[in-house]
Amino acid sequence: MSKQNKPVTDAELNAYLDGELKQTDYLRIEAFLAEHPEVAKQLGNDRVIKAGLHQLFDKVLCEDVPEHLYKNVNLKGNYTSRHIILKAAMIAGIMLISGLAGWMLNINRQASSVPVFAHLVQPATFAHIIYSTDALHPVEFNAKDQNILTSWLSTRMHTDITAPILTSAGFELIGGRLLPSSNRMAAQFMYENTAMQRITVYIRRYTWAEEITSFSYAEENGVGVYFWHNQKMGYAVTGKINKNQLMVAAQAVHDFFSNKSDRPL
Amino acid sequence: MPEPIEKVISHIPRLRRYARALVGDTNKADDLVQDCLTRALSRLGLWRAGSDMRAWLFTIMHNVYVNDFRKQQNKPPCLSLHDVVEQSQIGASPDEALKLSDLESILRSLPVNQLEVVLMIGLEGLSYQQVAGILKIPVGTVMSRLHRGRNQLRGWLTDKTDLPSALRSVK
Repeated sequence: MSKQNKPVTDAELNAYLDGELKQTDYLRIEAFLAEHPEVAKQLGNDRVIKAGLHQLFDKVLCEDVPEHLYKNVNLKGNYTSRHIILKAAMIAGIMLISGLAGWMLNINRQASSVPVFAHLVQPATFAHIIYSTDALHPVEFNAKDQNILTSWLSTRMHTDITAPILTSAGFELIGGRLLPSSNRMAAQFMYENTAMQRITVYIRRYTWAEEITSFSYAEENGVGVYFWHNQKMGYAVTGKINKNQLMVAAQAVHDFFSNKSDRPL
Repeated sequence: MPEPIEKVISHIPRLRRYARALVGDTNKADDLVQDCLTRALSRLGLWRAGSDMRAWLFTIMHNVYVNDFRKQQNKPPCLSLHDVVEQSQIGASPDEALKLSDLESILRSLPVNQLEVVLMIGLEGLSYQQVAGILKIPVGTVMSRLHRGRNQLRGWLTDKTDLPSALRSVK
């Protein structure tokens, strides 16, 4: 039996969800999911459950750590000020959290002057509004020319850019385009679900390190946006859809880019 | 290069999240973290610089939980009234809090060996390989426990046909 025809196992579906597959296997599972909507739906459920775990417990990351937990550490005499320890732990705790860790940290809209809004959230929402409603040319390259699109984007942005796969969140790639941004370029990928609702994924280089943003939500220019950044790239997933649908899609994007760096291409 | 003790401190929020998810009760979860930290600090000299501190701490927490902590508890861990109240306060509506608490109830019904794997992978984002190392079991066993655990959790969404709205968002 050739690898293409090999049946997909439950273990592989779990590995797909957790970003533990090789790139070649991703394509095989995607093809399988496209032909088996009931399995794709179940996988979507598993993704919702994963998000549910974060909704239940990520609040703990934002709580003050009870003092008695630091007592052992203080006894070591390495610190004289508990304040420093608390601060270090809070900052490090927030920085270290991966996945959906900043779930509860809805950035206050008043912070619109901060870089993450000026350079990531606002341009992403503007680009979303302009192109997702364009009847004739929503994208520059269609999904069928995905290889050309991603190689063009990768060349112009001087980094490896791939379109995330959002099938399990119910969205299929329409295409994408290159956009100008405040320092270089940004990439926009557009997706659509069966209800013809569109979301966009906006990716740009991100070099403003003064604030810590893990996974946050805002509403900007009338559209919802989940956004986060690491030390290199900023990401925004934007759409005028149900917030939970957007969250599931954003989590899929987040997982895709978090896992991508770890798996062989 | 941060001191090992600083690295331990930086992991406390995540250890607390995992412990809360594992144990359920806030105070008991912090007791578990306390036991874990006490042991980790007494053995800090054994931690190899450059190795994965997080996996090391999770190994200690697993050992403390399975070997000592659970034996000290007279009854199986359960959701306290305090937690339920706290949860309903953070939800957008009582309806949503109820649904999330349903998920938590199913978590509590999982066997510990499945619960640990589901949380380490689904909540903490550890790799299968890391979890296998922490629990000292083969990767295949990690995967089968994960599969069985997830199968049970699917009960949370049964009969809820409209999935996205089934998960009402926090705030």
